[in-house]
Amino acid sequence: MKTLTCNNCGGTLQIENQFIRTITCPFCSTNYLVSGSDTLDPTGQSASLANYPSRLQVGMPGTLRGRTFTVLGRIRYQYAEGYWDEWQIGWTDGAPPDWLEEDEGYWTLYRRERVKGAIPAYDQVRVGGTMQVNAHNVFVTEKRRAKVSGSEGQFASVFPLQGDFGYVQGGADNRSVSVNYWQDEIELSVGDDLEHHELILK
Amino acid sequence: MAQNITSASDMQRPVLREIKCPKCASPVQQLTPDVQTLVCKSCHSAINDGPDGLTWSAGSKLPTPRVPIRIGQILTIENVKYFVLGRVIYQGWDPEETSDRWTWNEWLLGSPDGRMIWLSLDEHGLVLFNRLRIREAFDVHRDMTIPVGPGKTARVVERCPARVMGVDGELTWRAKRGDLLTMIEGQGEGKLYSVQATDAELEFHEGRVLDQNTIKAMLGEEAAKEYAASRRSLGMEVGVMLLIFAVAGVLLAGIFWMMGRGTVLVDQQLSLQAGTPQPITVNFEYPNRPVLFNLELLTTMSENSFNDLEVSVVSPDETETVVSFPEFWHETGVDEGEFWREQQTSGEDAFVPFQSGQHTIELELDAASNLSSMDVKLQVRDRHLSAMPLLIFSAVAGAIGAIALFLGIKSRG
Repeated sequence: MKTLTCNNCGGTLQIENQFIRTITCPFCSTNYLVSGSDTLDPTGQSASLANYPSRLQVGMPGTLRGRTFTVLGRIRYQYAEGYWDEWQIGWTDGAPPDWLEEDEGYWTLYRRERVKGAIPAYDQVRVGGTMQVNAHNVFVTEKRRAKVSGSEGQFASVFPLQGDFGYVQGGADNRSVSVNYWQDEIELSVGDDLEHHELILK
Repeated sequence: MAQNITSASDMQRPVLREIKCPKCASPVQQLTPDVQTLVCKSCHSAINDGPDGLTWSAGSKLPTPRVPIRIGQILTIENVKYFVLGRVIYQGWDPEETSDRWTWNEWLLGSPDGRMIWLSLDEHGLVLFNRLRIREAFDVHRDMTIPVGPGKTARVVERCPARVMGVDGELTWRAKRGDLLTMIEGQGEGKLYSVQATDAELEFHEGRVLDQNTIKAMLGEEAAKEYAASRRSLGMEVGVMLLIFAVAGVLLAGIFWMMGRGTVLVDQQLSLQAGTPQPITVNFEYPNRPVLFNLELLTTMSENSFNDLEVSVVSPDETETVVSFPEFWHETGVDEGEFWREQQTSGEDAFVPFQSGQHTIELELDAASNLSSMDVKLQVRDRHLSAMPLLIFSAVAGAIGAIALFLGIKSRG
């Protein structure tokens, strides 16, 4: 575990594992990009998350389908009518971190998947229609624009703190599929719906 | 009605924060994390907390529901305690008959494991809905089945536009009065399915009607009895109302039969010669309204004979329309030693003129008929009132009403 110092408040930042690319200072909420060197690149101030109760908390250990993990970070996305949280979890077996999405108490475990072919443009996607993504024929159930409204902890990816992005969610082959249309990147995630009892927290 | 309500102070739920209503400045407490709408108890405005700060939209106090479920209450359903977080009243309507409107209530419940579920009160009764994750394609506007699991479908029984009529309590999305959506309801294998569709999202839910024992455990014995009675009385009210409609329909049909014979345009006896058309001129004033033709045979037919008539109408633009081919027949025979005789000596049909003005009715006795000539009486009427649709309506309404009334009385007993 690597330890760095917050440039803004002097707080101690502990980098949990080698996959971490973004970290939010738990004391002053300054966001940093984590480079290969021992320096921090401030990306700007973002709103810290309200300390509302949730099943998960940053730093909490847990078990999912027999694998143990630690909650590394939480990011909250906001859209016009609501918001949802995604929790970055780091596996103790050394595998790259994954995401747990929480929406009204329903949990989905998402894993990033590389985009292997053309994906329909955001404007061409219609709720109720289907879209081809890699080998998945995705039935689209949600399409909105959202933005990052807050974060805490550390993350294995870099997400923009300014501006909004389009996202599409749907299902294919009994799995959840999510496509984020960032300004510079299209991000694909494929997820498994979790039953409440599968998420065991310590 | 019995109240089985746990007050907010009894619930041991911490107040997460308190805000001032941006409209009336009254304090509004937030008890649930992740809510996007808080309804002010003083002015009933729906307060949304978004990136632009607190905003509000006007609301009004919701009517008291038929069941004693209140915001802040704890409901025990099948040994699980749920918080009643919020309430939404929806109104649906028939897109082809917009005056046909109905409303239903939905309560948002928070379960101990953090899941949000819905308790709906509609014509099915109290229904508990859980979110369903749909992974197969479904055309909201056309499909008649809803995919509800691998290889499983539910039959679509209703599809209608709907709007939010009012909100109360705390909700997990920014809801406000007037929000529009499309509702699709399905049924299959004893379960109910609901699809709520907007341009941005499709939400699927699977529900089951709560039985009386569950409702008793949830609302208490007295309230459960009143709920059951209200369900029964609803069935009986519907039954009585339909029976009243049925009787009124029969009476109206009788009045139509007696007084709605219309205006007689032609009423005369004609002597027809086989193979020779006989024209009659008549003025039809009302295009697109049916005109009734009634033919009665005045000549006695010999046994086991038939006679065909051809009736046609020539419109002012020379268009010829065949109205009817009444066959007059007279048959006799012996069946198992019994002599029988049957005959048809009259007939009725309708013609709908598409023009007004002078028309020519042509009657011709078919040359292949047994008689070479016959006397008939022709009557033509317009502006008549038909009793038949009313009689059909009365029969259907009466049957459904009788069943509803029977079931209501049976369950009361």
